[in-house]
Amino acid sequence: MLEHILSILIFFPALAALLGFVVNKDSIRVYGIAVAGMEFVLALVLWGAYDPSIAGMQFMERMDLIPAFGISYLLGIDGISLFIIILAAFFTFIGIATLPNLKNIKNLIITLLFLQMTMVGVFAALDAMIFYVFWELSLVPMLYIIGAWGGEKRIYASVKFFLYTFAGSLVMLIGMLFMAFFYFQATGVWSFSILEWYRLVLPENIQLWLFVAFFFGFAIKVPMFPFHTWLPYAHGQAPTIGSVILAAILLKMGTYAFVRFSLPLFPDASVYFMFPIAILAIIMVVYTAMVAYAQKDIKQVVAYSSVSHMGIIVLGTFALNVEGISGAVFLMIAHGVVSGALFMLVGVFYDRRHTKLMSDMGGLAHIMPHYATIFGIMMMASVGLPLTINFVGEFLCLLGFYQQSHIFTLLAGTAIIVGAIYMLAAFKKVFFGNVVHEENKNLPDVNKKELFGLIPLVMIVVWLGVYPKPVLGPINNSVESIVQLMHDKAVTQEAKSVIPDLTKKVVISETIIEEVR
Amino acid sequence: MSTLLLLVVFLPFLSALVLGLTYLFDTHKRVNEKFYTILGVAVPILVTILSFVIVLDLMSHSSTTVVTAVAFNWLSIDSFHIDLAFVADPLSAVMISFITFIGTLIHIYAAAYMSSDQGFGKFFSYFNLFLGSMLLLVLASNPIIMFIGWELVGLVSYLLIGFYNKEYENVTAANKAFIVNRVGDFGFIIGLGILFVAMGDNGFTFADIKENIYAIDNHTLTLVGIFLFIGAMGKSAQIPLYVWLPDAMAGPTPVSALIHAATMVTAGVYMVARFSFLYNEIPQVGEFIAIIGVSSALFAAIIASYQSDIKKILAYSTMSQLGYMFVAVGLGAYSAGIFHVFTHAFFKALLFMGAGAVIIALHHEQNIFKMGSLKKALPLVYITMFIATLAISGIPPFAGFFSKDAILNHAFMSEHYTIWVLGVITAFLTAFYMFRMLFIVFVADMKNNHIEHKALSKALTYPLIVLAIGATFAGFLGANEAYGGSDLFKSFISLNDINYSISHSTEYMLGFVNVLVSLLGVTLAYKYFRTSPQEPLPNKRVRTLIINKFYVDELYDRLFVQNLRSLSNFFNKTVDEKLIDGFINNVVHLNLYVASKFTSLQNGKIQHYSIYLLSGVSMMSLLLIYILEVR
Repeated sequence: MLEHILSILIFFPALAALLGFVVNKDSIRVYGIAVAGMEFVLALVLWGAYDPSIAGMQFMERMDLIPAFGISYLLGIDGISLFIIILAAFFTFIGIATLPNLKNIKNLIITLLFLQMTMVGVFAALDAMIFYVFWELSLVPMLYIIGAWGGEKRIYASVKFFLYTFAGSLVMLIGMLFMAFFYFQATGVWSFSILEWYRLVLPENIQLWLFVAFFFGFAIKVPMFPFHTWLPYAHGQAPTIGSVILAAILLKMGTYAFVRFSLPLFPDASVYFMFPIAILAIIMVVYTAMVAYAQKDIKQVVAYSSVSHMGIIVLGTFALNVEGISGAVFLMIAHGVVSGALFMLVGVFYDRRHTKLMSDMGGLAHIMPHYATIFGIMMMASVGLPLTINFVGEFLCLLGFYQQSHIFTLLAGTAIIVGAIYMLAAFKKVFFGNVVHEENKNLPDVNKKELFGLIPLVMIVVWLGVYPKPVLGPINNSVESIVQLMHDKAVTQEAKSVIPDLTKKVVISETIIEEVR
Repeated sequence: MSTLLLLVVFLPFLSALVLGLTYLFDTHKRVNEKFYTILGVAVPILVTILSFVIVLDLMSHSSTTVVTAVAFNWLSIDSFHIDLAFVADPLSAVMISFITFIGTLIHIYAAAYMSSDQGFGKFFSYFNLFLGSMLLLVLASNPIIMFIGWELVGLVSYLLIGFYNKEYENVTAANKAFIVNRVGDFGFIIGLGILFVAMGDNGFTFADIKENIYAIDNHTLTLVGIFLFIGAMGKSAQIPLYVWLPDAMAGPTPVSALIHAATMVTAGVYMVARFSFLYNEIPQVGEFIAIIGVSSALFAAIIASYQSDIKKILAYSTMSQLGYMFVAVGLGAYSAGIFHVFTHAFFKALLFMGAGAVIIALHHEQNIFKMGSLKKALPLVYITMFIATLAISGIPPFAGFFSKDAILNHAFMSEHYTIWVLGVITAFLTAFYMFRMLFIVFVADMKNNHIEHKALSKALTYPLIVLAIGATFAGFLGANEAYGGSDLFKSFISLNDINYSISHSTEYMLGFVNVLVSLLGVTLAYKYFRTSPQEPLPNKRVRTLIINKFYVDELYDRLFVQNLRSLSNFFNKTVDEKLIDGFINNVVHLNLYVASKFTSLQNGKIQHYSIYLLSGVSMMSLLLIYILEVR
């Protein structure tokens, strides 16, 4: 089973979703939980079978689809994608398990299972076309989730989300086609395999153009400043489960793609664009943190803070060294857990009172102490307090970028302060003071169903903050090989000096490459 | 020994966890206060014993012996390895011994002070966490782990200052503490980053840094030194990051005692002493530290002289005393600085706990002008507070005299005369405002005093006695030859001090000056406040300025808070919604507009279509004519 575990992980939820159409409406919840639970167990099995000492791709699967153009069904994971896949399975599982009673819940659960297929697919795909297909397919379930279960302006939000990201992806697609064409020119064979592309050394000017094309697709997804304005609408209108999945997993596609495509394919362009992107990232970090401070709606605070932290991930990625990239990948996980949890927490109050305005809250710590405690822990994690999961990632990202520029890191680091300001201000408004609203006085504290989702998240936040090694080790291994690959591939002297030489032998994948050759 | 060391750090964390979870799951308040008290106090006692064992062990060996313990490898990226490891060398061992000892006394006191409070269990959970974080900070074997403790201390102070979180004011004070500390932490982590890059692959423990310090150029070290000190400004409440400390009085009094005596504020001084090998390389930064220190000392002493809230007076006095400590560590007298931390811990804990006892006895009255002639009602509190006041004022033979004397002598001998003079003036003011407080609270006859006194429990008073003994005798541990001691403290912690030889006669002369100005301060306080208190300063404008703390809070509010708020609103309303999103929407609108124009072209009318056809053909013909150059 292990040799096809990735295919199973991708298509099991989709098949189960198809079957779900015939499941009775009353038992669909149990069915959904069971499927997502099994998927999560499978993801854990994947982790158990993963060999952390191997830096390259594992569990590879290959099947030719369109041999004439070198498009194949090629899957594989390394330390970078492994944990995001587990996270995706985990969040889908607890997301379905903690769903409140919504209308058309059957459709929602089926949609979520389809969404899961696309998410796992994106992170497991090693063929650019397969990657692209899953990347675009992931828009559809999310469009439906926002459009069908969202708030008042749901149609506007969902269409904006779809068109904006879709526009970006099209530019990316053109970049991919050109990349394949250049590969064909160089080798005489067509291939869309990313691993094959890794071997191609491109001249700098071509790298620059392709980098920009890919960048549009990824940057809108992240979303980077100034392409971020679709996100507040999406979060503002999406139901809780939509925001959770969007923030925890879907946004990571953009930053993951930077690590998977932009850096190893275009090392010289990455060095060339390092500072422009860093500047964008820093603006993104500080600017969105300040916008978060101005919000009146708690969900918008969380949404903007989520964007702000994504900026740190981008910054760490473009530090172009092991500390920075490993930190960025770790922070993807951390950010997923923490912002996912925060959106769930916002949802807890929304389910009770159907409002997200902070002025409708106040003094909740006295009515819902458990809720306040969990929210407090997540807030502190979001602020980047040591011994929580976020600190490790943020610290490594900043440390990585330190080696490139002191002053930029210093500017990005101001987010440490602004982040604390808006979070504490929001926490104060929501939880402290006297209870002013009569309706809030008898609110029940978090119930067992909600705790089922939240407590594991709290445990992960503390566990990986205190002892990050189980996750950081495999990540570090795979990142090292990417950095070495970049160093080896770089054509300009400048890039060679910026990207550290780790004097390691790069192993892209163990088995498949030989077959292809 | 290393197991003991691990226990010292982990036990408080563990008990904090147990207490916290018990409190959280005890929704019906079934768990007795006794459970929290027993666990919450037993752990500090145990940790104190363990710390003493470690100190004794270190004493029995040569001065270079250290106890180390590695819990596990925390981070391992590329060439960057950080272990969660602890070191007990003489410096950290001394720190943990008095932190745990005084911490324990405060815990016992708190058990009585907080009894029958709704959040009793929560309080003890936070308290143990505070102790644990401080121990983590002190014992860390590398700066990253130190930073973890550093931040956790900030977190717990936030939780404790905002303990009574129904009052918005308290929460605001807590937020202020956290955010101002964050500013400092930001500096600290920037400093660490620079240091890390400079260190390269040479490891990052304190020992590694010490070994490789000579390989780093002076310019980088200067930056590192300044940024690390910014961290210290935040934690140890120095100008300009001191603003959180007075507001931190919003927390329950035992919290103030813990913050001011045993934990938190001493962290900055300790950090500088821990990096003594670094600061020795950059004396110019050291001088800067000393200047900040002495300015803070004087500034706080001036404000303290006009405060009427008993806890605020003590808060400013802490800031002032911390200033002395920074003078010491800045000028290279690290052991003198740590010695003052040590003696200060005794009398400041005593002062806060005494103040707490008074506040409890008077049903939460904090205004000193509403107290008065409590001498008879609370004799024990009066006597112990008297001792603490003598100690902080630097009257021999009480503890504060020796440590303050060592610092001022060092400033004098290193030829920093301005700093010395300002230090002496501060000493005068210290004696003045402390005795002002003592006389008004305990001696002066106040007409408006009709408050019923509440009886105090033993747990509230006995710790005072223990601390009073400490405040009296602790100074002898560090007394130098001139005063018949043998510099025990200094020779034990053996830091890289800059030493000046000083003759006994100079020593006595300087000591005499210190005692003289202190006595002058006492006399002045006696004159104005012994019987019926009245403020001495006539000029009304200066007085309002001081009473309002030089309007620094207002200035910061105008400068930072309001600007941040309006800038945030500007970003939100104008830049984000109108500019960026507006641009995107306009692109869409443009698209729609063009589309609508094109739609009207396809209207199905044959005459329109023939016009398009005709104009198309003519255009093409014209083009062809042009291209083929038919003339």
